Amino acid sequence: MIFSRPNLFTFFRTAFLKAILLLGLCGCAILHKVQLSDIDNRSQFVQVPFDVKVSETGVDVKDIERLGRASGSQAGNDIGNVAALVALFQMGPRSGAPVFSEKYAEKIIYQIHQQCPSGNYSGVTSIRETRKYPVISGEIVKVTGFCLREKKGASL
Amino acid sequence: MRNFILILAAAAMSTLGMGCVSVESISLTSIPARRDAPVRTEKSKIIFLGFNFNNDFVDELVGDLKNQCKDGIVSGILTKDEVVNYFLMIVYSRRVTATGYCQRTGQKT
Amino acid sequence: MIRIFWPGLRRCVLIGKKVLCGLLLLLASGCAYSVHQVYVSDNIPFAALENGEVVKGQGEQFVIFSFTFDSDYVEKARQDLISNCPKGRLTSITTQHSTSLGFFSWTNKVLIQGLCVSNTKT
Repeated sequence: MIFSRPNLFTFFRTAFLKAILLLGLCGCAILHKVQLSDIDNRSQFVQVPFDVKVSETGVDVKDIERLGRASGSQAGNDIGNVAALVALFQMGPRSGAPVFSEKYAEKIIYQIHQQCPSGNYSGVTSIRETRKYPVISGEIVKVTGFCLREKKGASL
Repeated sequence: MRNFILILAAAAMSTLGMGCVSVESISLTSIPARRDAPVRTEKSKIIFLGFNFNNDFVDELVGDLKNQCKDGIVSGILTKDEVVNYFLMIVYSRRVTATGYCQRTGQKT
Repeated sequence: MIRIFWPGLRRCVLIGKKVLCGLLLLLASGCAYSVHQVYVSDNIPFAALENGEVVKGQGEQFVIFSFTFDSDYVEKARQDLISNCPKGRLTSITTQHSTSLGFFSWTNKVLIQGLCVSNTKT
């Protein structure tokens, strides 16, 4: 009975919608900026990789507005109106969704020196990216590099 | 009369919007202790309607700094990448400025 | 029972919705920021954190209706950083460019932090 035409159509339609939902829940990764520092690739050093990642939750009120209006209900419309009003107070150039604290990336310098106490590091890649989900997003700053340690017995 | 006022308002807005600057990216490298010889270079390119087929103007920056600091090290480089909007993003300019400090060889950092 | 209390309940829900919307407006229209980039420079010549002092320099630019004619706040942040380390070298520099969003206006900010190492220490 599952193989009758209306059932087959319903089955595939449901499966397709579930797949879209699953993809949506996985999130989209958006790259905003990438920068590289100098790279010291001399053979006298052992390169130990390090990784520092900080993030903050971003809230996109435009998503809230769209979802509210798409719901078609009075409550949804009210929420959409409030979200539209809030969006007027969040104007300006933006990379990703707005966050409520800009200080989340201020301690990176300490975290790098924690992972590389000698301070001898190079090949630093600084990445600013967003992991986007419906309404909320992860505003991520990722810094990767190599901590250089002299090889024992190596000559300069 | 109404059309004339509208055109005048549009011209006024576009004039006011002339040369609106926005910063795209900034980077700063390690700054030396001796900062008595600053060097600076600026390169820009005017782009019309978004038609831009190369960014070769950026390649001239390093050569310019090297010319200003012969037989030396340029460090503490602040690189600023800006967009200057002249007319409603129909005509805009991409401007890159690099300023740093020159240390002649033999000088201590 | 429900019929008796229903008008009162309905009124409470309506007031509750307005209060919730008001609270949401208050919360969400609070300071919102957008961090555009964070760049970490190298550490050449290298120095450990305990050999120096972390100093910072800041520059801001208030913008209304996107009318801005210069970006001098970036140079101001660098000058501010250098003035906090007048005799040493600055290394391990972190440059952060962000915007504080607002009502038809915003503030562009640059925060530069670095490790100030005096010439006597390496």
